[in-house]
Amino acid sequence: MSEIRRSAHRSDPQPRPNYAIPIVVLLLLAIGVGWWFMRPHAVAPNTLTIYYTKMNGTTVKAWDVTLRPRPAGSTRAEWAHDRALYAALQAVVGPPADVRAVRFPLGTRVNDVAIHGSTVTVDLSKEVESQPGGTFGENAEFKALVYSMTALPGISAVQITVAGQRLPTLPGGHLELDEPLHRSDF
Amino acid sequence: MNRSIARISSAFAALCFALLCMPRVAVAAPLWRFAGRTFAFTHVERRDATLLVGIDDPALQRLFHTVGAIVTWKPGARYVLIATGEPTIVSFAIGHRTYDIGPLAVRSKVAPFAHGREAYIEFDALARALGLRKIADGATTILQPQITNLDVRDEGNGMRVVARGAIPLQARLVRASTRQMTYAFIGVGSRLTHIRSVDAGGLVAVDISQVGTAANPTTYVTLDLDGSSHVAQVGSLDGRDIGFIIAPGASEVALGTRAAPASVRAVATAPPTPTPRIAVPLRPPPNAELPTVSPWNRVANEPLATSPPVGEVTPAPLVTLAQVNTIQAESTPNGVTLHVTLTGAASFDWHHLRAPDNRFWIDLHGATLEPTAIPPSTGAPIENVRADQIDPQTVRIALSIAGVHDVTVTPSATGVDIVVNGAMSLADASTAGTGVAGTGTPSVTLAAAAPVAGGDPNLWSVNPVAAYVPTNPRLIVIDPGHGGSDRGAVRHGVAEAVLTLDMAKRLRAILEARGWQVIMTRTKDVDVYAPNDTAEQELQARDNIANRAGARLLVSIHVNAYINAGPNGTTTYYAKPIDEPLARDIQNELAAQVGTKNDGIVKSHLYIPLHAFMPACLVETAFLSNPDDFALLTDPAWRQKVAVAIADGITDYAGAPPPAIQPQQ
Repeated sequence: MSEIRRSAHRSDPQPRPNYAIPIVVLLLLAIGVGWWFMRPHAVAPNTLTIYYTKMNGTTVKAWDVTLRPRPAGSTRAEWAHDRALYAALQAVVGPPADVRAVRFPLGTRVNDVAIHGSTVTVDLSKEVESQPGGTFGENAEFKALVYSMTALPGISAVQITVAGQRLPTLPGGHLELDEPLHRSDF
Repeated sequence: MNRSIARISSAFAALCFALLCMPRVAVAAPLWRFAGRTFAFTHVERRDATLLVGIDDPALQRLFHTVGAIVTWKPGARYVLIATGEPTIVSFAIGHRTYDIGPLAVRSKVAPFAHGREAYIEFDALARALGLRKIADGATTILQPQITNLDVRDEGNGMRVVARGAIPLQARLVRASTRQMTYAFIGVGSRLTHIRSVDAGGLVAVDISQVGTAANPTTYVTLDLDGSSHVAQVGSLDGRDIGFIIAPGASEVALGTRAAPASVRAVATAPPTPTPRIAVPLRPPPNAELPTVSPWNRVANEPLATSPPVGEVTPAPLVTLAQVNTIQAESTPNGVTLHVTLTGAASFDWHHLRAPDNRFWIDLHGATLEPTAIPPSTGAPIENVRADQIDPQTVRIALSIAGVHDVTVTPSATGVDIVVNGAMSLADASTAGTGVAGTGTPSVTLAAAAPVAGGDPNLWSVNPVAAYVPTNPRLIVIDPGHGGSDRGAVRHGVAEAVLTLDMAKRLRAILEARGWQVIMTRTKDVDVYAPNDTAEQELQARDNIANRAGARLLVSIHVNAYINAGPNGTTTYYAKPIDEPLARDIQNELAAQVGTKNDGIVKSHLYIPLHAFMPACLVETAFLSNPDDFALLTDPAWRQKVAVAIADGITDYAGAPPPAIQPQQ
């Protein structure tokens, strides 16, 4: 009888379901997904492509620069602004000294940038008006700036302002600047 | 007991206060010496025994200025970006110890931080980024500017050596022989002191050594030659570096810094016409300064073709064109109202882009813009008003509006009123509408326009006419660039304004001899619109002459320039698709006839061709800043060649002029 009882006990497994492992796996998965979307570099890479115009005045050439990783706590918009500001500054300063490039007038600053939709406004300082004359420099400088800014994701047009003002042209200048510039303008 | 508790509490409070204050205890400012001046920073903080300086510190600002560095920072920003004079971008991230000097990542002892409205950066990191070496000298620390870079590279058959420094460099030749050339760089030091073997292009080695004191260093750069080479010092692109070209053999080294030719022709050196400073008039200058056939009078007195250009869509067929006579601004409690008066009926459509563009324009179809219709100056929220004849039958009035404001368009018996509401609007969608003005019957259709993200440039631009039909196919307009108060590029006393006028006159003579009717936008060294006008007024006045005259084509003649002598050659710029064939034909003839480097045709967003209805181009004949081109530009025979080449290009493009139409008896 006791044998029969023991046998019956062994043949009745009815295992209790173990939920611990799936729950742990799901938790790890959720943490992983959360980390993936919340990680600092998720919005955009911090490598930017900048263009300069070669000394023939028309050919643009690209080089890559890297901005420090996105600061913790900055919003997506702030990060986009920081990248655009960095790109504009790099484009205005130009490539390293040993690269022969058409450069903006010495002392030209990028006061700030602002992104509205697909247009980025780049506010330059008054020094940009110190052009040497001729179309050569103007065309080459702004071509490089427009190419650099439109290399940013989602940006297709660049509005130039000088000391906060939208100008039809630079004084004594040739390019029309009071409307956004596109790559197709060059 | 209570006393003990009180003592412990007081001690704890004092300790907390001390801990809170410790990182920001102002330290006694050390003395620094740079460029012969001793100074102290006043915006200083010390953390972990490391000195940090606020970027608004007056002494630091002077230091930035001296070394040509530009700082980009505003309160709340997450980065401090410094463009050094070299130039290199140095980026400091607030709260991060790692910073970048160009592509080089460097780690500072203390992370930059923001304190109030100022960012503080470790001074050692700043000095390194600026190419300054710290050398202790008693109680003072000397900041010694360094030669930061010495670049040796192939240059044709020879070599080029370029030195760059933390400050603009000046070199003095102190020893010269067939085997060695030694240059002294006074006031700068260098850690690059060693002998670098080259053995190429006539250059055997470069030897760098430093002498002098920490405060007054001198760096010698000796170029060891193979005995059969020549060395020439050359200028730089930006004045910050110094280069040497080593060319083997006895051939002359082609330099970019040759002096301008001494012989300058009379036409090039003629002093500019004195221009009296007068107030900018509200209308184009008197016809005395314009061609004999005044385009202003011409439009007013002669009928325009009423058939629309091929390929254009005319909203409403109108037998006679209404004239836009006046545009007047009136400030009202609700904002600003623009009253546009018309002599007859004209259909219109208007568009208002959503933020951030906030741009508004209205196209009046079947209308012409009269010289009396001067865009008025208005107050807020309108930034400016522009009126253009964008094609022979359409007048566009465009407003730039600061901020988001509602705009209402109301036809009236005498024209149309445009009301810009002074209050900010919450609307975030582009709008558009149509109607008929000048009939006395208000008739407006409003519609929400498709959102235009960032603005559609084709809507805002003065659109090129796809199939332009000139009302005067025998007429060519020549625009001598600049003039009057605008001298254009000037080098060695030679002004672009004078050269362009000379070439334009030569071109006019050739074209007239070939049977063309020619109008020049200016025949003297004067402003076309008014002395000291804006660039837009000046350029639009030139386009207006060609547009109102219904010219066959427009050629603007210019002279190029750059900050150094390097660039040279001839380029023809264009903007619209219909410009390209004209630009190509002219450039081809210039390349074949004038002997300069052929820089080809270039598309650009240039005002003159963009705002011309007809095929137009801008010829940059040569570089005033290049010695070889300068010699050509100041040679009348060469300028004649340019005129002939442009005329031949026009002939290639347009063929022979059409026969003149005899007036019917």
